[in-house]
Amino acid sequence: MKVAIHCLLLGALVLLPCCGTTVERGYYAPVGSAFGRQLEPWRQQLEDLEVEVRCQGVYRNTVDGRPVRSAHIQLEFTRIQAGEVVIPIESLRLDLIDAGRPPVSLAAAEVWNGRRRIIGALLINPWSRDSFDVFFDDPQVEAPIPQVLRLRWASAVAGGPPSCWGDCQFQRIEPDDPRFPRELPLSDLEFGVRNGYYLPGPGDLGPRGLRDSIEARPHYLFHSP
Amino acid sequence: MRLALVLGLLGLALSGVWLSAHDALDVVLRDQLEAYELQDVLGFESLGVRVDRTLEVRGGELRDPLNGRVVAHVDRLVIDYSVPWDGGPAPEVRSLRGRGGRVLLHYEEGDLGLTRSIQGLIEGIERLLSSAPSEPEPGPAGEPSPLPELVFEDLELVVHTPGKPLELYPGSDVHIALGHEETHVDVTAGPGSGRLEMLFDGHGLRRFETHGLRVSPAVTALDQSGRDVLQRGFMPRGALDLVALIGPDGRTESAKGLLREASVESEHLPFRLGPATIPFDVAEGVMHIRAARLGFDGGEVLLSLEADYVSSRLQLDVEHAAFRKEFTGLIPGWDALAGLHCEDGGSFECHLQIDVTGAVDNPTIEITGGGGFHIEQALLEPIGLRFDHVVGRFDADESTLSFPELSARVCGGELRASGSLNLRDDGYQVTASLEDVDVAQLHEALRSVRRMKHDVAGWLQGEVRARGRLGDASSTLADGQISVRAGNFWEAPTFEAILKALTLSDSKSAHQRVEARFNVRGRQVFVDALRVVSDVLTLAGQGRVDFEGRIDFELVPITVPLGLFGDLLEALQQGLLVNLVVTGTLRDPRVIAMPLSVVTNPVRLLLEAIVGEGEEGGH
Repeated sequence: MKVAIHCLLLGALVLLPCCGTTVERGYYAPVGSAFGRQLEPWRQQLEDLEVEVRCQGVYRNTVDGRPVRSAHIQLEFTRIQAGEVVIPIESLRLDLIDAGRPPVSLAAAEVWNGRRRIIGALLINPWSRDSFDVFFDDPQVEAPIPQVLRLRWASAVAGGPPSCWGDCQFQRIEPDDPRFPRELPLSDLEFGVRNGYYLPGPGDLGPRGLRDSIEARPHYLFHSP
Repeated sequence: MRLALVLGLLGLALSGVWLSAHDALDVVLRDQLEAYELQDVLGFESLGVRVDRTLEVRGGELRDPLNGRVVAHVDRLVIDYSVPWDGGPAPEVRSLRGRGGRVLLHYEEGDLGLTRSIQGLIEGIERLLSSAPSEPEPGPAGEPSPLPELVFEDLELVVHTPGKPLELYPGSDVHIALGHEETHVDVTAGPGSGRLEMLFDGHGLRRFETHGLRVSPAVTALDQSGRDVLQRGFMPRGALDLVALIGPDGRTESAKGLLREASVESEHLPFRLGPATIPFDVAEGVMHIRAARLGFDGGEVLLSLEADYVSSRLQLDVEHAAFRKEFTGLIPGWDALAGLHCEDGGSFECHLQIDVTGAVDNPTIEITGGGGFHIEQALLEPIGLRFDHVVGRFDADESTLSFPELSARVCGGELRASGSLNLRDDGYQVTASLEDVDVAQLHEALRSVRRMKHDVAGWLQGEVRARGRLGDASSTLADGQISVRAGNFWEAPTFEAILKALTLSDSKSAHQRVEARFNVRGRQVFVDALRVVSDVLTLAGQGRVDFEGRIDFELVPITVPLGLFGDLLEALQQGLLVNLVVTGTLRDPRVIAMPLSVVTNPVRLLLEAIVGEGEEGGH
């Protein structure tokens, strides 16, 4: 009997790390920033463009019925000069970085501006502010949640060559960190946000799609529960 | 001798002269001035003869012959009247010298008395010379002998322009070379203050030159039309190099020059422009400044001007400038936005065309163009609310200033707005929305000035459409809606009072959802429909709140689950539902519970709470 119990305990110890790899969602904060209860953005002024980048995390969901692991990035650009700024979608790249593994580089799968899906390039008008939701989909659903995300993009004033390159990194908030957002109470399904985090429900998220809303919001979050 | 004395008087007058003497000389001179029709141009209080062959003139005046206005006043001037005589038939006056004294030049907008006075003097001199009993001997070549030169040295010129600081030019010299055909006047306005040359002929001022002259005296000396041209566009200061040719009609035929170390200050500008070098020219009555660059605190403006005698067009282009809070003074009606303060920091761009027509003292100004701005921080001081990174565009036409797009970060969310302001009647209209504003942050911002102790939370969205007149709160008409998700307002005094009235103080859910549809008339907010939904309590009702915080609401609370319609009917039948009348103030509310059966209107509110607000409300 004792042997059996020991075997069970040993088995549990062996299996625990494996359970760790099945954590369904990773949360991130900008590298170098202090973790907090609120979702922290990465902020920088790149030439005449104020940039805020938020990472809503890496999670499993389904796109067109196909399960994928997605990284959800929210971008806010404020153009503080004359001249339209163009950011080609193909310039948006997200690197998934883990120690001991070669980085995986993903192209943007979907870009949304409010309720409008963007094709080709992000356009930011002079003297204006605009928000975008960018999704990077990784078919490796069971791959470990990366420790670091690196986002890169190139921008240009309309009609000119690329003149500015954005580059920011996010560090994963470990699940045992007391500020891990899973400890937050969930938001309501309709609204979805708690302390800036998209927290409509626990675990995997449902099919990605445009959610209707009667309210004016910078982002229209995209998952059925 | 008579000639010498009169010339002395004229010379004194040119630097703002006058005289004094004992009674007899005084009378003689006044008679002479009248005889040569100079009494409208010259005057003096007293004249004294000194033992060193000088005259001391006191209280001299140079007047505009057109209206008698004093354009120059001299407190005291000493004139050397000694005349060398070689024993010929008459003494020859080659020069007349004077020195010292303060010459106060009175300069008024829209007046050109000084040049009229000088012209009047020259005409008087010509009358004097033509009637002189002993003309000087002709020169060797048979030409008339040169006329005497008038030299006044070490004068203190003081330029007084109403409403502006006095300008002092100590150590100024005035040289007047009288001629039979032409008279040259050369004024050196003190060390480092430049020089002015004028050429007069029988028709008056014909040529006008300045060399590094400070601009205000130069403008003083220009003819009326030339000054109008300058003043319509801007009132510059600087060192002026100018050559101007004046036509027989007194108008500037052509002019060309440079304004060096130029700066522009105006009551209409919140900042000083310059220094810069501004080239300009005047031809056929039109003045041009082409793409002059003037710096200001934070950037530079590209300035172009085209002005004639009846209108001017000023083109201002500012790019890549740093935002300064003083710029808000350029926005018409800004003063009426009481308590909205912008801080230095950000960026600014504008492209404006300013057309000025009509009288100089009452011009019609039309501004067209537009631009953009980025203000790093603004504070709505009365309530302590801070806006970050306010960014937007603006357009101006002859009567409207519009903001087609404006947004700002506020309390973790965004404010978006658009609107317009009628520049003629201060009427405005604005549409604004708030997106994902953190109620806790908003409450924290307001707490500092409202002394609120309770905690609230949630995420707020809303929109409002408003119109009215700036500075007149009673004219405000607005309507809109707000909603709060994931809210927690239980500690707010009004909700606490409601829970207490319903004996539900221990039943607080962390998930409140608040929706309200409202309209504003003057200083009152009428809440047409209010719904507060939580796990333990639903409130539905309507009411009003004024700008002083007084409230008057009727609410129906429902403490049974809405899904159990049978339970609700049972509660109705048992008279368990009540109608809440909430009055008092937001800080100190009073709640009275009345059985629902004794009122009728709340039944409709109750049904709205159950089924929602219907199509009209969009919920």
